Amino acid sequence: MIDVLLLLLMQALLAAVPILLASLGEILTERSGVVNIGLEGIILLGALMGPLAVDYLHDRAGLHLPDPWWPFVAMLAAALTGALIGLLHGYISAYLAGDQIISGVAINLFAAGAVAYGIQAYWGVAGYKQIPEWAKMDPAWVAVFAFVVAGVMWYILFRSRLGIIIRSCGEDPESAFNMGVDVNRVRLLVTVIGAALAALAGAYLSIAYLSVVTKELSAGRGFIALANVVFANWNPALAVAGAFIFGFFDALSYWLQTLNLARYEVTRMIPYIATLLIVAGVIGRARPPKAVGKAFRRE
Amino acid sequence: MRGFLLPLVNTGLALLLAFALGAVAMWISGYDPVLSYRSMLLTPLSDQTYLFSALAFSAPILLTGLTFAVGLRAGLFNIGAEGQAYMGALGAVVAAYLVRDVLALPFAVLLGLVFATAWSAVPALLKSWRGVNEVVSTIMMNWTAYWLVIMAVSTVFANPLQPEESVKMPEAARLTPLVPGTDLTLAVPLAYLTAVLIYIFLRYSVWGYRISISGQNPTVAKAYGLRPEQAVLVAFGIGALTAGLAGVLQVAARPPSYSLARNLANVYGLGFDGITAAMLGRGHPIGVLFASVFLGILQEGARHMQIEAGTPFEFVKMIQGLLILFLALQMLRKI
Amino acid sequence: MKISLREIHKVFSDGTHALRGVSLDIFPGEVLALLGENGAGKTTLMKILAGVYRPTSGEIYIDGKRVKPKNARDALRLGIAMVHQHLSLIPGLTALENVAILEGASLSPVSAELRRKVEKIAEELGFEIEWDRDVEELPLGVRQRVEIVKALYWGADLLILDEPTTVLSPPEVKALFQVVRRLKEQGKSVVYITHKIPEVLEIANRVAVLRRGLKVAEFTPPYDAKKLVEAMVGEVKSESVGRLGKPGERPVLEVKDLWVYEGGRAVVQGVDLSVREREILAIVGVEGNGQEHLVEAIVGIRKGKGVVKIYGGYAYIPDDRHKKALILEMSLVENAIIGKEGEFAKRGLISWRNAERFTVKLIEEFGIVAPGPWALARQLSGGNQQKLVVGRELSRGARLIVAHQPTRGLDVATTEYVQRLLISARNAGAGVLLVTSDLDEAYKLADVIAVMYKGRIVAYGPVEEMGVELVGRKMAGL
Repeated sequence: MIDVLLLLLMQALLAAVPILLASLGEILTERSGVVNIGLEGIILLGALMGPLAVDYLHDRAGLHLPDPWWPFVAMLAAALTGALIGLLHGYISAYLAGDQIISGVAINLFAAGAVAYGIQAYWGVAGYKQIPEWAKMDPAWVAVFAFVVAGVMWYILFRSRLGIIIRSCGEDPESAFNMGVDVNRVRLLVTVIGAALAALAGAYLSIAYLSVVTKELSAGRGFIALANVVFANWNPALAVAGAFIFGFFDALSYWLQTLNLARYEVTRMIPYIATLLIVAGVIGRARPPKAVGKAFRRE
Repeated sequence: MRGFLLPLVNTGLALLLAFALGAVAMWISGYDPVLSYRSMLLTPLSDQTYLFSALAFSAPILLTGLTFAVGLRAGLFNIGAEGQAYMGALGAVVAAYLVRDVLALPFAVLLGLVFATAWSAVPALLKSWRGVNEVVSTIMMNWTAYWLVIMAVSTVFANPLQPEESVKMPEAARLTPLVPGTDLTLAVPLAYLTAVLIYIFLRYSVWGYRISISGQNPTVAKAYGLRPEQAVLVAFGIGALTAGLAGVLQVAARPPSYSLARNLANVYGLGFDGITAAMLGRGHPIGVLFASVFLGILQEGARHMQIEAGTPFEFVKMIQGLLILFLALQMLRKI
Repeated sequence: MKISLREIHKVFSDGTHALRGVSLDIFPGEVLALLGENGAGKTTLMKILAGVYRPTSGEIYIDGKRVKPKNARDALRLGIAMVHQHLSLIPGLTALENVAILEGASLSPVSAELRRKVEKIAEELGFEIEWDRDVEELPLGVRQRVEIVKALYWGADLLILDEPTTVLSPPEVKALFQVVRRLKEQGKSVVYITHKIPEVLEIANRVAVLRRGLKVAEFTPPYDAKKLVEAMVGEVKSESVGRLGKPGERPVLEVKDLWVYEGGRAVVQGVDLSVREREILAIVGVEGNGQEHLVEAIVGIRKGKGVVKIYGGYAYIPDDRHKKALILEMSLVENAIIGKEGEFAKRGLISWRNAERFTVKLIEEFGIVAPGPWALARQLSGGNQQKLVVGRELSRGARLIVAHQPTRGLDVATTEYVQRLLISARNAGAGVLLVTSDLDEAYKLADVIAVMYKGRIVAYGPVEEMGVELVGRKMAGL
């Protein structure tokens, strides 16, 4: 019985990793005042670009690297992709004072099309592509990385002077600007990092967790991450707990399916319903950064 | 229509940029942009059958677009049209299962609208009572609906003769093509009429006014007795009606199958196409109408593009995404 | 450090010409009072000096050298610090973090040395501050002290205080004056922005008076209060309309045992009050003692516990017309029918032509300067926007009028106009709940005065029995 439970917890942990990474990225971003609804799309793009980049370098460009390096190259490629999208969204949100929600929705729509198009155009197969053995990564690496990021982010936000600066942008950008903070630059940089983390979550999905690239790989995880940010009250430490809870429901649904305790479709519904209930229960007790989602304009 | 010209120019600019970038993407992947665009944009206009097919595509997109547009008016980001359309389609299937004659049609509409409205009630009440962000809640509802409807259509409501489909709409209850051999059914004028009605509602009705005020500034609304919580519910409700109708029409008015595919292929993505149409149309019902026609042409054109130029039709989705991106760049204030 | 401002002009992006060429000198070791009415330009001028705004034209010199502060941190480096009226501490950060933010970005935590120095400065000035509490939770008076300590830590030689006493009770005001005197003794300069003459008489070495964007006079002691007022106001005030007739018997508003909570704290604690026909009840008190929550609970923006009964409908003039009364991006017509849209509707559809006619009537009747009824609300000046709000509200024919700071930020003429309208409405039978922090206004208009302090009504009585001294004491909680 105990080992069954341990196994379930283990799987919950593995399922929690992508949500944790994306949540941490978004906590950082929202703490500076930018909302990135496009997490879902960035996860998808990361999931695609990781394997695609190493496939190109390995097979078509004939680059020679020691075998264990390839998964890390994939992760790097994904992070760069995420950073690029983050750059775009950050620029729109900060310097152009554009509507952040619309920009995020646009990223999701673009990613949905681009990934579907990309799988077809690059590999010539419709639907899904298996990840070759040499490109796969041991999920443990990423899990450890995610926890380390959580700890580091907590320290930075709440104990360091850098955190004071970041938080000031999200609470009161006018006053922060008066205190000499380059609000737009902070917001842009932080959005880039946040998006890079989300893209890593996507790459994790394709090369470490599910070993396949499809156009629906993210399956709503980006939005679950958004919900987790609220649940965690914008605190990286609580985000770990939240991600674990969501991961638990994810793992539970696969378990029920494997043990044939419920129909396949019912089990797939579980994570979404759980997220909805959790968000509904938690709202009201959460305190978001005061200026989150609002553009900053100088008089 | 104050300030009509500037939004038009902005939209045109976004279109241009999106198509330009799309051309680059195509060229990198080894496809021919000129041939692709020609078949995507011009072929649908070259033949009546193709054009009607494009209009048939535009109808459900218009309806789900209205869902998002009405939500925007109320200050909401209601992206639940996708799930509500699934539920509308489910309603039509249930009706087709239970009633095997012409009455199936009105029954389908009734059930479809009821199902969709009930589905929208969850995020609507959560938002109205507890301030839950509707983006997250509607997405969760969408995914739940996805699995729920697939389950229903694979089991109880499957067509015994063709299990990849649901039961078909009884022949007497179908909305058949107005011009034989094409896809143009009553669904199209019905959708357009709905857009006009929504426009009248938003501009002239008392609740339309209340929705606008609540959307712009809920504090002002509350201070003067306009009850923004109710406006939110009304906006969600109307959005559910149009999205549900879209789902119903995809079952009752879609030749040749007149049923719901088991993988939801004929309703999948309607919600997001609707969002694209709403943003292209800048939130104005008539604008959304024109935008949906444009997107319908794109969708019809995608098929021809795949045949004539070999470019995968998913490319159209990417163009839509680019388009929204450029529109987002321009929007320094909310629509 | 001698500071000179030369020919400062400031034109804002909405066209307001706030400063029309002001020149001013500030000498070391003096307390200079900057006197003027609301909207005269005092805050704008000092914000330019403190780096928050940039002048449209004009120069700033420090000890003869030209300077151009780009933001508050620049100004602080030059030795200039401003404590704003609406305090600019960053919520969500602690008091200490608000001081430390100027240290810049770094991965290391706030230094122990900073903490020690900051605590020492606070001690020297007699301030008791909890440095590790979120500034949101600190009372306004304490927040002001944090800002002063912050300015001094970062080496300010000139401290600009903008209307510092609006958030203080009388004993806190006394304490502030002592701090100002101590700073002067240390050789610092203080610019004291205010529109309250008694404070000027008490503390200033020199007075500069601004009116409508220009410096109109400078005074040195001994001061003649009458001359100060004349310089501030300009023309002689016209005779105001008097109150006619006694209050009626029937109530238009009854509030019993009202409690309003925010974030777990009780901001309004068991308030009882009533307003009758043909009566103006003025609730006075320092801003921030629960008045806003009280008003919002009465009109329904907030939920409160207790009984609120309104007889015969209500009209509401909020304190913030941009956030609570008007939709700036919509037309005047759409704004004019808020709350009465049903009256213009037949069978559920609004007749915009009728609404337009109504709006045109409002524009004429209340002398609103506007390009036309379909102009957007944001195209109007502040005074005209307020006239639209007042006009809309008074035309409801409601028996209760809730007016919250109705003349704040308005020029003299519009202020007079609005006050006259309120008295006329009262004379015609309406009951008015006037919530204001302007004691002059309260005494001018009220039949009954109530004092609000820390969420409770601490004094209540007919205006003849409520002397200024008593009211002042009660406002301080004494």
